[in-house]
Amino acid sequence: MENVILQTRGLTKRYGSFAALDSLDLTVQKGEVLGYLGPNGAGKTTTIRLLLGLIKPTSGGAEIFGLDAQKQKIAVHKRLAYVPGEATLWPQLTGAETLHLLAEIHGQVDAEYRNELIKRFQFEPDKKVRAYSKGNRQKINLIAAFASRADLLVLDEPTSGLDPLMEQVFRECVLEAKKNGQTVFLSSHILDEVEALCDRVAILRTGKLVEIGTLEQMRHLSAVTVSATFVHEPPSIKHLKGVSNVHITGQHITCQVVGPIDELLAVLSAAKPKTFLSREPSLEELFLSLYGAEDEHKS
Amino acid sequence: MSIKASTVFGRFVARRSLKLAIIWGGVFGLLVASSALAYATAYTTDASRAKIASTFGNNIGLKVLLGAPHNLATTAGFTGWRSLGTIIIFGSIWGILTASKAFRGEEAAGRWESFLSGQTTMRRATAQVLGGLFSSVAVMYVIVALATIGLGTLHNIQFTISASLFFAVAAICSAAEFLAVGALASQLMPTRAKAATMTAMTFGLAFVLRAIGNVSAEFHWLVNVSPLGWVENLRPLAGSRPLWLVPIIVFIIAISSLAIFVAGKRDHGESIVADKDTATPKTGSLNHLLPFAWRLIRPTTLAWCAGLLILSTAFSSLAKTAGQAFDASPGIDQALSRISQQASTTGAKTFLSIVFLMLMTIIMLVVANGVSAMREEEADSYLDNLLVAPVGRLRWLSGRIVLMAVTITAMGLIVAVGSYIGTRNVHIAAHDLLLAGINVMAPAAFILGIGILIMGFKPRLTSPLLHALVAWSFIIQIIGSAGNINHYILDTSILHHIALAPVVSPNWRVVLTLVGLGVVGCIVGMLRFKARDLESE
Ligand SMILES: Nc1ncnc2c1ncn2[C@@H]1O[C@H](COP(=O)(O)OP(=O)(O)OP(=O)(O)O)[C@@H](O)[C@H]1O
Ligand SMILES: [Mg+2]
Repeated sequence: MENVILQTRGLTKRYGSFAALDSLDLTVQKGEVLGYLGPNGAGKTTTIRLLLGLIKPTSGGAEIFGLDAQKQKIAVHKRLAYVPGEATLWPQLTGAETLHLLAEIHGQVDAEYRNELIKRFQFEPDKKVRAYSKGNRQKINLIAAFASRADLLVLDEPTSGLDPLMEQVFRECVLEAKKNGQTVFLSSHILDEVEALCDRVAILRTGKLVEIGTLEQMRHLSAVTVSATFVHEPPSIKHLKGVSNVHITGQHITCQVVGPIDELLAVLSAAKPKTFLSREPSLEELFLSLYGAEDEHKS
Repeated sequence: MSIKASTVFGRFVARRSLKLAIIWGGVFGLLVASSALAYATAYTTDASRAKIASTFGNNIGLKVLLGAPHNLATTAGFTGWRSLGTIIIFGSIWGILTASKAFRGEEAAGRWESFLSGQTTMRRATAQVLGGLFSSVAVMYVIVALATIGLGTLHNIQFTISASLFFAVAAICSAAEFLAVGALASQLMPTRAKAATMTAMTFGLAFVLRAIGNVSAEFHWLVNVSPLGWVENLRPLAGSRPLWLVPIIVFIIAISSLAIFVAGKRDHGESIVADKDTATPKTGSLNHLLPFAWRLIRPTTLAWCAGLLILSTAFSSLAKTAGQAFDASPGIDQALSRISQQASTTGAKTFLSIVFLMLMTIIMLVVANGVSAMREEEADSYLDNLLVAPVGRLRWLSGRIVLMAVTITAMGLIVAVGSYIGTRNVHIAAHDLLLAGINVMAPAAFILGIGILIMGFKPRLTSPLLHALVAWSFIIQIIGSAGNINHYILDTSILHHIALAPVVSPNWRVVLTLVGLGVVGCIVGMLRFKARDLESE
């Protein structure tokens, strides 16, 4: 239990009758990097704003470090750092001033690490914020968050606007934080990033949690594509359990299969295949199917 | 890019400026209506009209504030002068604040950037935003025009439709002029505060030129070189002179075009008068919340303080001459001064009371803007940066309220000092002026409390409601002074309750009540703010 950093229970936010977040139950373990995914408007930012106490839940609640995220905000915020997707920082301050201010207000900073991060992110701190490009402004928040060495990092699409080189630096920083025992809650649309960084992935759709687990587990749950070529007529496989989308063109057959593959394999190998190929879904295919999960159920 | 997409930003800006434009349009309409009704019902005989015409017509103080009157013996002439004089001032202030917000403010908040990432140029974007703002002015025009036309149909008023339409044109001219100036200043200056200050200084110059021109025969031509003088020269409802629209329109088009042209000469986030984009960090003020908050509001606050010092000194220095006009005019003032042997000071004090009323209104506007700025920090999510750190909402808000209270106190003292400097030639007791300065603080404290209350319960209405309240109070007070007005309506004006020091001594019960209500408003508003969701725009 003391390894649980963040836990939500029935966390719900309604705007009128519309549920932006619908009864979310989620647990994040210490040292874990949790990817928080979902299509636009799924409720990711709403979740994060609830966790940060910027908005109040309609029902349910959240605990961070075992403290109530709403009632004990100040104590919670001492130990977490947040990076919004689009920060509005004060245009009249310079980058260095902003970093100084954010550190003072947060109350915790590893100044040496901060200087190192400034170099690694190739950040020029003496410009005024209004003169920075979007990506450079984003770096300020990232540097401030990582330099705080906070126990929990809450990141909401933190790399929007970063170039590929900086995206790489960001990934290194997340992995360093993880090695350091910090916990990361990462909302993202960038699948590569999620694959490279996240231990577990939670997928949200229209305010509801539709899937949570490791990428491995999710891959297992979704369809594997199988294709084979035969010397003679391909065997009939449509009746087999878990098999769908069967296409036959001449001697060639493709299909998808969910769950145990042994029955299908037995039938195919009995028909003496010339070639055989099975492929796990790509990350894109996996997410597209999960993002669209509800539509499929409806149709 | 489709036509729709290319105007989307202009429409966005128009929407954001529209609420206040509608409120001000409505307030202007009310102002016209109540000026006309008050006059038409209070002065029904030719004799009474001749009397009022000579009282107001010779009043230098009012000439300075509202411009030179014409045809004061008619309802139309009185209405045109009284309401246009006030509208010019408030319309200009709206223009100054709206333009600097739409250009510099939105740019700093990063909204220009996301728009510019579409296929548009700085020039086109600037033109669009100007278009959006001018369409808000058009809405203002429609409201004022409808109000004036409706009013004109009354049997005791009878404005012609064309006169009403022309009046509405005159009513929106200063707003349009200073929108254009504000747009240009926003291209030149690097920050919103500096752009607003530059525009305000232009306004001040135009105002002073017109004022001098109006009181001195020798320099009368100065009226004709001031953008505000041109508006006055239109003389709506008093023998309209539409030719003066020519310099106004030329001015607006020229300044707007210049703004668009200059916009193309600079990059996003840059400005022509370059403020250094790099700076050595000054971190002294960044270790604690309160000094940081002060650093954020310092430029605006200091600019207002300096402006108030100049205004209070300048206007009160006219007290002697204006006071003589008061003393010379028939009425209570004269009787009073004869009896009390204070011939030289009563008139001057009466004039000073009008000056203090105006300064009081300006300070209330400063507070309204200050509270709106707090709300904007929330709306534009600057506040998120603080609240996700271990900073409580109450700590943040109470710090801002304390700073605002200090500002109010300072401003009350500043206008007392300014009027003291300005009135050295009439020898008004410093003590009286100090009390008048303290008197000024009360309605401002009340506005602060109401502002925090609105911010707690209806954050998106903070700026429009608060500005409307200030404008309403001022207008009702001005109109109330012209005669017959329902006392229930008068009661809704904060300024009506406050004694007009220094001609009479402050009513301390009212002062304490207003301050007390302000404190209650702050507390209730803060508690509600703590409990609610943060709301972005
Ligand atoms: N203040 C509000 N009032 C009404 N509806 C809101 C409000 N805030 C958010 N919503 C709605 O809640 C839903 C969830 O929004 P949220 O910002 O959490 O989505 P998101 O998952 O972060 O999307 P994105 O990937 O685009 O950032 C959206 O449909 C949004 O329109
Ligand atoms: Mg989001």
